Amino acid sequence: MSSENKLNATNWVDLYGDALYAYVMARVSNSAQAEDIVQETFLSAWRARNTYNGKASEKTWLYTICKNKIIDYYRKASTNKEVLAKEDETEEYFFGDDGRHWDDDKKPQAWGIDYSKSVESKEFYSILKKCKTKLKEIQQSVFTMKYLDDSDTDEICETLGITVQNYWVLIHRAKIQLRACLEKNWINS
Amino acid sequence: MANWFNISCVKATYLISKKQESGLGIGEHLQLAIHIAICDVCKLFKIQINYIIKCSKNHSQEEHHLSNQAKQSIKAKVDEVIGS
Repeated sequence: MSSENKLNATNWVDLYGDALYAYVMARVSNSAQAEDIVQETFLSAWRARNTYNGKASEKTWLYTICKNKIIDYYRKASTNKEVLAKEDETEEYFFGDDGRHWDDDKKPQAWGIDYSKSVESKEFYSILKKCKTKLKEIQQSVFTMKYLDDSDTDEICETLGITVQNYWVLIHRAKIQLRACLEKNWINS
Repeated sequence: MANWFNISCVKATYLISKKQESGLGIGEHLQLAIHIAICDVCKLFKIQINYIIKCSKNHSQEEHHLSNQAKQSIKAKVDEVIGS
């Protein structure tokens, strides 16, 4: 039996479409992009069907291909990185008055929560997701790779073709903005 | 020397982030510790950032479903490629 016979691509969309889509949606910023990635996953899988050796399940194999598609997407989003690093105005926005200290109306406020407990509400995660979509794409990519996929810094820098100093600045700006966005939409809503 | 100890909130918040990512050198560590001791706002920033990162790691996957339209369109494309 050839390896081709082990795969039945006709029902992939019904079997794995939603699961892959949810996986991608946690990692990219919009639904049209996510749909494209899911479609590309199936098409690439079919084109590479001869390399499927049956050792991993069909599902695991599709996820591996999907993860690579997401990395390709991050890579594309990072091609403007030089410009983005220079033109970002995060610091000017939050530390505007003297360029050294917090602006009075943008500084962190007390949240009145127990910081030792992890939040369990779905609301928090849906707001976090929305706040992430407001970041620049490359900031989203580094934050997601680091804190959702647990990739290490070297791996992220290599994938996106950025220096480690670049990475620190990008992820720092992502954190500053996410904090402010969560305060506004989660704590003060 | 006095200036060396007296870092801005811009620098302090950057060091807070960097500490989460890679740790700090001994000089940076000292600069940040002194700043945090006198700046309540950056201290709060540090607590909240640590909290957000902790929660982000527990991220539960949201429910998402492909729309019927998207499903049909992907199926058509897959069938086309299988058939060719």
